[in-house]
Amino acid sequence: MNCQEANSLMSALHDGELAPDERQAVEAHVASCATCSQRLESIRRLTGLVESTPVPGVPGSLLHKIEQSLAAPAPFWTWWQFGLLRRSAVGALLVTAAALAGLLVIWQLASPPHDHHEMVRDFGEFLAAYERGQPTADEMLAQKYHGKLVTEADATIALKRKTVAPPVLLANHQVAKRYLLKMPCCDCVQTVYARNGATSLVFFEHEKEQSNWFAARPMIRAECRGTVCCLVQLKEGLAATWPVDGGFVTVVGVRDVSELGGLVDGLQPLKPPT
Amino acid sequence: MSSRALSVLGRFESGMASNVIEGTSNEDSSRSDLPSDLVARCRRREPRAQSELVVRTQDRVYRTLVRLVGAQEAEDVAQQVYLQVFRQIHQFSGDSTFGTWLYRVTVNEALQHLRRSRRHRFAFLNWEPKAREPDRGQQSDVRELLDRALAAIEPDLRCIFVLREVENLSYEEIGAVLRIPMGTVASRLSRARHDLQVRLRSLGWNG
Repeated sequence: MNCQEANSLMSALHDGELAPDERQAVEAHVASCATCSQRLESIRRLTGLVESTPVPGVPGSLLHKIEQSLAAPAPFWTWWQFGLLRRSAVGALLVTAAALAGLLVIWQLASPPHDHHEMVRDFGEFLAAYERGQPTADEMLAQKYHGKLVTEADATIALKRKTVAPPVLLANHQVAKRYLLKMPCCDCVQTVYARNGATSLVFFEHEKEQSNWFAARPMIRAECRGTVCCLVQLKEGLAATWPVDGGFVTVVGVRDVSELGGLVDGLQPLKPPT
Repeated sequence: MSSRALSVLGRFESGMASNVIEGTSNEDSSRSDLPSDLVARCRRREPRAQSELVVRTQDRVYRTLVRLVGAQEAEDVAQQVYLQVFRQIHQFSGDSTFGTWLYRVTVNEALQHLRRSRRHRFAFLNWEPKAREPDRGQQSDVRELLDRALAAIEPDLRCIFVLREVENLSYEEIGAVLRIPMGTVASRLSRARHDLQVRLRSLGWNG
């Protein structure tokens, strides 16, 4: 047996997956070849490396999340998958036709004033202007989405829950203005914070997760102080979005992960207005 | 090549079979990795049976996913795995063990997730995400090294490596999960180890 033949069987030798005659032949070669002996030792060290890095335990929340998902109403296709309708070709055609007609009507009647792709593009342009330090950056979305200046109380009424954007954030960022935006997804409150007279943080409160606002940039999901956040890196600092009780927040201009952790920890959960 | 005498999936199964409930079928016990009526109850969508199945199997599913998609994403993907399991459980015919079928669903969901992530251009940022559990010193460094190297090799090779090195499955069992011949398992695993060693060395590993 030469080195090439032995090398092709080395991995299986390590796993105890060779037939006895093959094993004896490879072992005999390895015993007489320093190079192949080193290769086998390297495979063993790789296994040792895996064994030395234990995997974290199952999060206690997993079972609860699965139970919640299973308890939610089954989507139509699931019913279809198990139901009697699939046994009938006529039924299939009728259901398909009805679904297409329904989609057409919904599309025609409920088409938003600005489609979602446009929103993604606009948010990307806002991020770019923010990164350039453009003074009018925080007004861009307000101009596009019928932005109306509102007070903290107005914001709470519009959101149908108490706004989580406090008058002062992280000790030295103060509210400069709040806009109510008519976004394609929902009514969204944009709170602009300033520090030393210049825009510092821009804060959005919305109903659903909108990580796709960051779609044009590399992004990552990471756990921060026990909450899964979606993050993108800006020219300086980060933008992030994460869930709070009853909705989601998106912040642009966080200095670093440590500051983000302070925000995630510090924001009061959303509560219904009293 | 010979398969290992003691099947890991068999052990997985026999551990689960300790809770057999009356009324089981005459199915060969070595092929039955859950109380046989548990799968039947899950097919009837009994919530308690579904929860029991998750509790009995979640360790392996989550552990596999941590190595395949990373700790940050593993919980979300595990949730998807179980939703698929309960949607498709009527398709589980018993031709393979339930453990094999569950690993197959897990691997398929992980690969789908990785493809979606690639489409969304996820990338590493220049900071270190907070891990789910506190890490300590050297162990944390080694874990990060391994995670980065695993993330850099081809997903198909990563699956084979994880099923072998993390889940300790035999070549025969891996072949059954991935529906490939044992010879292909052997050659791909050899390549996975080679690629991983190259990546690890480029990251400073001296193994």
